[in-house]
Amino acid sequence: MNYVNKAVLAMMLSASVLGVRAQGEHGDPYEPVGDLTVTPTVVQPGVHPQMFWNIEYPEVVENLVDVGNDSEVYTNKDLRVKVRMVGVAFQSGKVPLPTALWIRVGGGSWQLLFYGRYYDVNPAQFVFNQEVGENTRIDFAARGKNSSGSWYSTRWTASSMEEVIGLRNGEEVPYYAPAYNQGGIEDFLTQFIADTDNDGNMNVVLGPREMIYLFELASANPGDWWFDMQDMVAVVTFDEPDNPDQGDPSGVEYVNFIRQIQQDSGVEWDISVDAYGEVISPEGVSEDGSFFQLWSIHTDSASEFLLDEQFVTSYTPNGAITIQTGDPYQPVTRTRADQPFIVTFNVDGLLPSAPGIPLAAQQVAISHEAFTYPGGTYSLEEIVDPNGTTVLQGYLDQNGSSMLGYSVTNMIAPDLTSASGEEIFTISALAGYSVSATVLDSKRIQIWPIAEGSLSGHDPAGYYEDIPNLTVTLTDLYPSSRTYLRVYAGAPTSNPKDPKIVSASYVLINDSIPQDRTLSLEDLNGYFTKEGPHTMEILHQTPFGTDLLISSTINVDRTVQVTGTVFSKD
Amino acid sequence: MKNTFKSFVVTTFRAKSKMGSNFIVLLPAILFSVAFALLFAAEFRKKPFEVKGEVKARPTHEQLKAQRKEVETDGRIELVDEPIKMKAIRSGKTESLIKRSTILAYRQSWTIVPKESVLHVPKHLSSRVNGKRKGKLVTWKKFLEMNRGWLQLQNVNISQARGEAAMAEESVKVYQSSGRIVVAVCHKGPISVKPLKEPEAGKLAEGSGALIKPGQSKPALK
Repeated sequence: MNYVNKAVLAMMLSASVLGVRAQGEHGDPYEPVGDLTVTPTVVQPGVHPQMFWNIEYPEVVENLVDVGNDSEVYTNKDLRVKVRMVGVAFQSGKVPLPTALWIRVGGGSWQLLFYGRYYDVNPAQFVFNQEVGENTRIDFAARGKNSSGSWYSTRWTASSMEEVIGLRNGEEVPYYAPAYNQGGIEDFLTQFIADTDNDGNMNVVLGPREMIYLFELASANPGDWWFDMQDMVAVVTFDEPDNPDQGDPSGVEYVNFIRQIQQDSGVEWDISVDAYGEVISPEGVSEDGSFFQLWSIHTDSASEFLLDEQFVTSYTPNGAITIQTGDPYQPVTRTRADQPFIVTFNVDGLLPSAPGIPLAAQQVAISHEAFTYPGGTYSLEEIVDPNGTTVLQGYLDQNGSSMLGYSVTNMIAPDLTSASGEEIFTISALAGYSVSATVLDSKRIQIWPIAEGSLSGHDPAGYYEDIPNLTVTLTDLYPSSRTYLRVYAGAPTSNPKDPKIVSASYVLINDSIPQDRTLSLEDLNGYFTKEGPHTMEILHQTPFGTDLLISSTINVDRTVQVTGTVFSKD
Repeated sequence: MKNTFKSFVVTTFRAKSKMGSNFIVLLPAILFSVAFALLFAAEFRKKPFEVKGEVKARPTHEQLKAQRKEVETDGRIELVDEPIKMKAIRSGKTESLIKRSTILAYRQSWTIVPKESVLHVPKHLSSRVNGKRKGKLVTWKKFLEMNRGWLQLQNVNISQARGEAAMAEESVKVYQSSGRIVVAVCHKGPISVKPLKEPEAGKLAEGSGALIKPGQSKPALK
């Protein structure tokens, strides 16, 4: 690694090293991200440049809503609230019984979201998808019918009852529902339950903006053996509204500063700022240039985050980098190991070659390095001096835009499909022209691996009258993805006729890092209604398209074979 | 037979039932529900799941390696093989902002201002500067609103902040006798004030309009 990139990396890492992270392995959305633009960047000494900034605060459930004692929620800001049913397990013997789910927003009337039995559940469909204002209480209610057609009493978050609970990522399942810790978990719930802290008790596995609601619809007595808190399960997602009010700092637990640092005198000047805005620098730029830093500090923990830094001077050229990928995710530029991306360098302030004009005024240096995340981690934060691989370096001597196009990742890995890390691009002014060499801009792109899937529990060569329980193991699911098991009769084909989706296999990921899930699928006979071979495929939908993770076959043989002969005495 | 039926009922209900009513009475309803369920299940499963575009097979390591081509450039960048050796510096100030600041704290709130921006601290208020911080961090503006009783602003210009111009003696005398903590501000933002530089004898310092005499130093802060 050359000096440039060591310094850049140190700079890029420094901010996050300062902070005490809520979730060590995560970046966004567990910490604020932001950018600062100071323009113009090439000015005469004394000129007052204008600063523009924009900060996005963490978007974990804990920041977005408060959860009350009865699992009711109170929004801390304007939010888009989405509810999807993930499963119903409510029947008498093998007879499915109706259930219903309601929502109440802001103490208004109850709104029916779902009415039906287990087979009416479509986990890919949002049964509620609306914007809800700040400081709004949201309640949920559910009930189920018994086999005589009358309703059991309603379970709701409007008062204290153990038959309903809302849980966030990592929280333990209810202790009074022993089925969870005794392996009695419905198949549609298996992707949401795991012993993530290895303490012998099961925890909830969710995305950062999600809550799961578990309902017990029949028994009101936690001591009953059938009290399992799995009769109805719904997942609630709290997203940004379509047009977020960026200027509204309510509920925000960060204070932001822009600090201007004069390079010649060392004078520092502060301004406290909201989440976004613009202001003219009152100090003016000094002869040796000025640095402008955008900071966000947590009001309680005092964790500090240097979000962006800009250098403005009258003598060095200016450079900016943009990276385009197929993933529209905003807070961090990211893509997948097999996907192309384009890097654009924008430079201005370079002078044409002429006698007396130093080289540093005529060109800037660019570099590109790739860093692999150490096993089991998703950042370089804990790495004091990470070893990178230099992919490319060179000089640029023309103002305007210059582009680099890459067809896949440039990381070095024994298996490129599993590569995860980041590639860092840097544009630097050369030393020797009034000021020391300076990094003008540096941008990173996160590279995530390609998901893998496996199916077990069956013999592809075997013949089955009853389809066995299957285990689906999914690793490195893309942070923005949906994955499911597709079944159809016949041999594998690109255009299957009448494919069926195994409802309990639907996995929706909306996170900042890849995710693993393990699913146990039961009662699959209904998906294999024809005789003969069937194809099972795990499909993975991402911003880049749909991938087939694995395909397997299973043979259905329900033909009754007569192996004896009936004789009559007559 | 009786026992068998009883056993059947018990088994059926213990399997998943959360009810205990008469099975015979419920049988027609159950049969109807089963038929209804099967009908709906068939309908539900008939719905094709949306698959956008072509379904692609997961690529292999070899395929990705083969796909990795020379970088495509527009020819404007001159690529070089030898390392570009130059020492890059950023502001050199990327360590903790809090550590680079003076902390003002009182009761359940605190804020930060640049070091050297606090011009005067009366003895009886010294515990509020770089002392124990409690409660929440708030913006400078909010902290000022909450603590106007013991905070005073001293407007300075950029020359004074750079130590190139002295503040008017009258202003210094006023804030030194105010009994409040005095913070230098420029355009409402706290700003560090560097020690007054030794000016060239007889030179009129910028900004303040005050004539700096040889050997004159910045007024004492306390």
